[in-house]
Amino acid sequence: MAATQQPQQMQQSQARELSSDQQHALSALDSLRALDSDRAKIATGYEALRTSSIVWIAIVFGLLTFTYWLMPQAWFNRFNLPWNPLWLVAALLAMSLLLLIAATMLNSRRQGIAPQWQMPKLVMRSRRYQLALVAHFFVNFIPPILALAVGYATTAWWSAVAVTLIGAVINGVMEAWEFDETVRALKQHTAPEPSHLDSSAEAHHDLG
Amino acid sequence: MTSDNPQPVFNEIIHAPIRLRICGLLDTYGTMRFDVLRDTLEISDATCSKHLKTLTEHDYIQLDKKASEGGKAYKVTWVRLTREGKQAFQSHVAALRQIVAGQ
Repeated sequence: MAATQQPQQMQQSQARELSSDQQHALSALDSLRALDSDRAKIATGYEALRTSSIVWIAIVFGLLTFTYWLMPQAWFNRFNLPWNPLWLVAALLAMSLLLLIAATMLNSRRQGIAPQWQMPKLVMRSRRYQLALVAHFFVNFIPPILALAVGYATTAWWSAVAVTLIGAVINGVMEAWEFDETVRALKQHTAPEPSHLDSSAEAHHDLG
Repeated sequence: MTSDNPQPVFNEIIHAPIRLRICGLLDTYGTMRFDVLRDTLEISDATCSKHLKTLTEHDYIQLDKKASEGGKAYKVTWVRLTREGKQAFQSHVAALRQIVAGQ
């Protein structure tokens, strides 16, 4: 009698142990899923700032591109101004910087999150974000070089408008790409897939 | 410094659901305003304060009270993880992953 009871008790104790382990694993999984869900919630709020962020970046970098166009004009004093035109370039550079800082602070205030020098680790690890960042870095050189060359070649007003628009559009598109990849990375699920939990649950069910 | 592969260490203080979620948000987003944390977690002022107090007592977070903009009388609280907090949180998440993986 005792000999038949012993394996039964062992089986029951194993089942209890498995059940307890499983409960711990499920609880841990729930915790990890809650972290994913909170992160995604903030990312959704961040997504609401997409248009305003892109517009700000386009304005700032459009202004910067115009400043590059103005540099050769100022250097050769082509507008025959009575004062040193390089001051105008310096003023525009300062204005661009101030606008960028204002946009960053405004976004930070609206979101309730302090500005970060670096994107969260999760975003930095994303291959798609890295690709957008590298592309943005290289494309970034196109508007200034183009603006300097055009500014050197002509003083026509439409050339200033054209390079400003090119600078604004290129940087706006790049910002949109980076922004989308940032949101995508923040919304990704990092909690592991519970496949082994499902199979052990089935095994446990069989034991019962 | 926090490493990319933290040692899994289960932390009872951080494991409480609200505290874990607070640390998770701060680990990703850096410094956050009190009201944003409270609203994201959908908890009351008192609950949020209570959990922040516990985390502060263990030196896992730092609270900075700054004057609000517009010359209003109240102060705005900004919350951020300390280096110890970041390490403890990341080690705890590693421990949770280990539990889920059945190791």
